[in-house]
Amino acid sequence: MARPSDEQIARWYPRLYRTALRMTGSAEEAADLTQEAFCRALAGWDRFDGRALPTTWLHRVLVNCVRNARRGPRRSGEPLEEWSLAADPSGRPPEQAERAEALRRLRRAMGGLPATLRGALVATALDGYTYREAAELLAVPVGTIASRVHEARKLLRAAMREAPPEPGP
Amino acid sequence: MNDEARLELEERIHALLCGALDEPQRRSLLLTVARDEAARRLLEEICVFQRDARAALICPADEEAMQSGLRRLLACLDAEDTAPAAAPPTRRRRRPRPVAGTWVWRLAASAALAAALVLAVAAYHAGSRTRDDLRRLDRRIAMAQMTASELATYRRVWREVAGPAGRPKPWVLLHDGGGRFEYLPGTEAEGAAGRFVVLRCALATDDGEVLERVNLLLPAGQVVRASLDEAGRLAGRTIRCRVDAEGERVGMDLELADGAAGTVGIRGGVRLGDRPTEIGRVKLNGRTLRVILDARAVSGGVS
Repeated sequence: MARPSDEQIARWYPRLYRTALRMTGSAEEAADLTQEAFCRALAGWDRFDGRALPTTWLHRVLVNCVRNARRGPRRSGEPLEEWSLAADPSGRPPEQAERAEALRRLRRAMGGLPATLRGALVATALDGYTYREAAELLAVPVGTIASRVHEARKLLRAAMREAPPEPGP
Repeated sequence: MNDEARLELEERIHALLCGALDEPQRRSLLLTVARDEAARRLLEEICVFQRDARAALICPADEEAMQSGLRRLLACLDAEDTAPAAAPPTRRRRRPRPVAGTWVWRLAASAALAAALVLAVAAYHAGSRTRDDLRRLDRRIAMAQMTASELATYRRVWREVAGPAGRPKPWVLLHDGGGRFEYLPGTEAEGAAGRFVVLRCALATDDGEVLERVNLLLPAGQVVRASLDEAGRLAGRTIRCRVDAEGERVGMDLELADGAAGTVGIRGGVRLGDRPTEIGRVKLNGRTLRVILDARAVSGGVS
């Protein structure tokens, strides 16, 4: 397989970075690990046989990098759960509060999804993998990803309609 | 729409948002979206859900860190590529003068893609109940900071134009799918390895529609004064720019000139790495246009 171009790397980088960010909770650590994953993958690119998609292979390398990093001493960084929700700069304060509340409820609802549905949703909607890529990552057929994502969104819609507002932070 | 068709459409829409469709697939899907109310609602739902899910679970302020990480990675890979053990030192050297066709066509393709998206979004607007959401989507497309792939394109253009060290410093104007460049007399650039500044000036309406956009590449960390008598055209008027860059600050005088109708203009500046900044507004044919500047320093790589 030909070594990927800068353009391909630039296209793949954001989703891998987001995956690392979601796994580590630290922007700095995510950037370091994404860089490490790319460098490792590209150094061994001649071993990539092209049977999987390049992004799938990179994802696996990244996940290994994150696991290895976690075996060592933890670097500083904010845990994901402690991040405050960003205010919409165009919104007025009451709208910002409503938006923040809605996002809190959505986060809680996503946390309550069955693991299979959540995995498909995170891989596609959050990490930005296509259904085909997500199917490779999760080792299930593409149709299964499609139905899981659809079901997850349906459950979240219902949960968002029914969930009572959380008390403020 | 039955369940199977809906799932298949969801997959295509998601692939569109991932940038994974080729041109015919994209056109076909956008045509469907423009014609079919149910498809529009589905696109809206998926866009809104994806935006909210990311806002709920990913720190929204990570964009700059991500761009910075990507720049660092590309610089690192460039350095590895040009290390003596990995490749001959001449590998990154390009022909001294660029052949316009190579990068102009790439830029033209990018512009055509952007235009196709804007047209599709415009079609999506018409007759749709999702007007407000689409306006937000359009605003995001138009007003977003420079993307990694745009920066990668600019980096390649800069490498082509800057050539080896010792040449005069260039500036490059990229506009409307094409580009032109000149060399600043009496100067010597560091070649393709040098940092450069991407300065973007956008003229946008109040609701975020970008009517015109001018991109300039300038050598970084130096005093650069460039005057562009025709950087673009808008509503029959010529866009003139004077750029004044020094250190971390880039200033611009912008004029919309028309011999018969007179000239309107504005002056302002931004610091490198700041978010896109509105330097003011100009009135043109009864419309108020926001003038937005965005400037970034980019590593040209190692020659």
